[in-house]
Amino acid sequence: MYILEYKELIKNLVISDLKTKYSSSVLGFAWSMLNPLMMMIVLYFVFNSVFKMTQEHFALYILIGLTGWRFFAFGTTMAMYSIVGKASLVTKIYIPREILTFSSVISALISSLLEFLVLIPLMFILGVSPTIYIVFFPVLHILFFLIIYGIALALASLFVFYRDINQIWDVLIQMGFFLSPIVYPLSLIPEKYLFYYMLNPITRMIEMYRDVLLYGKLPGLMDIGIVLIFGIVLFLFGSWLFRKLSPRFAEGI
Amino acid sequence: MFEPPVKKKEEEDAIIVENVSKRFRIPHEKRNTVIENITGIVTGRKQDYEEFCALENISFKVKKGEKLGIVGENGSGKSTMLKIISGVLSPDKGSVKVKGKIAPFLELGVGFNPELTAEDNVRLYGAVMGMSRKVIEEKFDDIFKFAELERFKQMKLKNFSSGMYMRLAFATATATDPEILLIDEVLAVGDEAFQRKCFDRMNEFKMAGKTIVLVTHDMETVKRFCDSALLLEHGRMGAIGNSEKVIDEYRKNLREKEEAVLKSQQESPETAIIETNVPEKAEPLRNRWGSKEVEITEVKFFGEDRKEKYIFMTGESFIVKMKYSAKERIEKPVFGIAIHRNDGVHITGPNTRSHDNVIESIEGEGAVEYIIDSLPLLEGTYQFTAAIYDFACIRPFDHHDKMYTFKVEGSKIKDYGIVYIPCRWNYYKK
Repeated sequence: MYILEYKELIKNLVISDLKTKYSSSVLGFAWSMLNPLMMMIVLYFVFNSVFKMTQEHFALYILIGLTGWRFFAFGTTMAMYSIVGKASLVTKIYIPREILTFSSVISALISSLLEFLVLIPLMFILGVSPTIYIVFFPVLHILFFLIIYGIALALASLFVFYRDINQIWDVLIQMGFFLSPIVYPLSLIPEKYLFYYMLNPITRMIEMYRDVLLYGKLPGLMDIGIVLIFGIVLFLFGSWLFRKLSPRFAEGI
Repeated sequence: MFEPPVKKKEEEDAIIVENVSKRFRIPHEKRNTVIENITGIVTGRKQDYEEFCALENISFKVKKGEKLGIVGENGSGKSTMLKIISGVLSPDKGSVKVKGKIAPFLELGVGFNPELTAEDNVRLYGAVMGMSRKVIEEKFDDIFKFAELERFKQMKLKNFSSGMYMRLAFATATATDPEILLIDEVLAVGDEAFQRKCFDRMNEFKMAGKTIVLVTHDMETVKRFCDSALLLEHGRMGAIGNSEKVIDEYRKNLREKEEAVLKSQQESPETAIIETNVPEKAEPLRNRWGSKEVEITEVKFFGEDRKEKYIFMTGESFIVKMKYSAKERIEKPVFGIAIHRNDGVHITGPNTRSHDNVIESIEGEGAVEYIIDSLPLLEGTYQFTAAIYDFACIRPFDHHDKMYTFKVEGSKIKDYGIVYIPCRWNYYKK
């Protein structure tokens, strides 16, 4: 398996990725925290005072949704550039190319973990104490990783040959943001659309994050099962596409 | 029972290339967006492309510990071959088997990140080259010492000069302990002293019995460094075997080709006249003039064996035959020639009058030969002028100015300058 064989390279790629991400700006890591926080404040005021949302702990509700969504949005978007952006590692040397995409998603995973970590003190500040169910968080995060990695593999390999995939994906990400219960409660969705709405695995993901972090309850088994199936299918599809396209990467870049 | 001998032989091979072909598609208009592809499908226009055959049916084996040089002209597929062996490109047909850890030096500094410090980059590059953390840490000091960059460990790579960059890259790359090295003309790195160090490092690899595949234009390196060589000609197998033999063959091919080019370039008097038709205002670039009562109809170069040739060696016989055709009887014509080096230096300009070869008269067709028994010119490209004048050398009948080209090449005499002057040396001790 390429992951074990090249663990040293993956580690280095992830570290250098994070280092460049956090050390090139003055505030470094603080930015990746300030950004969702400020976003949360804006969204909180808009939806709380303008739309009169009465969701309990609405600030945290938004923040958890946002943090989960950021993992998805950044994980897939960054990984899309993982092959094209590291052209020399593709055209000048041979390494299993999955490593590049994998490292990119791993560094998104680590960033996301750090963001969730900062959530915990915020929860205390906002008057919610975490429960024991927080131990399910890693399980959820790994599930989410599987989904993101599968999509990332497909995007990264397609982007080598179709350079407008990023534009298309940008639009989809923005649509997804409003098609997932991030800034509004699930109860807002009319009954007749709910079935279709729930087909989006990210909806279930975000709801499960809230279950274990905010509401202190077990995530539903069916939710886990459905998300897992999504994850496996996406991962297999992404890997298949990647393997099919990767022999011509060096020519396509 | 006896062991099948085939199997044992196979074990000795480090690289087996079998019937490898590689084509590149060069689309006329490149479609690399989804939109372009969709519009292409909708409008029904097929994407047409040219196929460029980079390699065709290449098979060879490299034994363990063998040093193979791949030579060939630009675009003959050398680098493509190396990339296929390394796995960067995949062949369309055929297969490549590699046994052992490869260190490809297709380019130095692969994966370097300018935003990180030199130290971090060495770790990263080491990992790219497949070194484990332990090995990298062990070799850390060696790498910086070899690169002569101990003082700059903490500096960000973006502040490095390109020489420093390459030195660091070379030092890290060669710190790996690979079984097979693929090298694509990267030996020229840094200043002269560092180049020598690089070459020593390469020799160490050679002595250690590593398998090496080297792609280079430098024939001398291949001769000195490699046991065997593979010649690629337009993506096909040209020759394979002992490196000296292959390179001699390659050089012979090159010379023949050049000779053919020179031969075709010799301007025939007819085309020369056409070429003087340059735009009106500009001073016409005339390389032929004269009153044409006599015309030079052909100028050809020959060697001692009377075989037409255009590439000579210093010390060889050099014969130029000029044919003429006189429309009327011409009294006391003077045939003259001139040799210029291609940078314009006038080397010689003799004529039949100055050598007391007075020709009483000519009429009809005939030929004049200019012969040098031992050509004193050293390596270079020379231009040849042929002319016929009247006895006073004032009125040109036909003057072909620098219309012919020949070369001096591959001589054993490697003196500096323009001409070889035979000489002796005496040496005294006090």
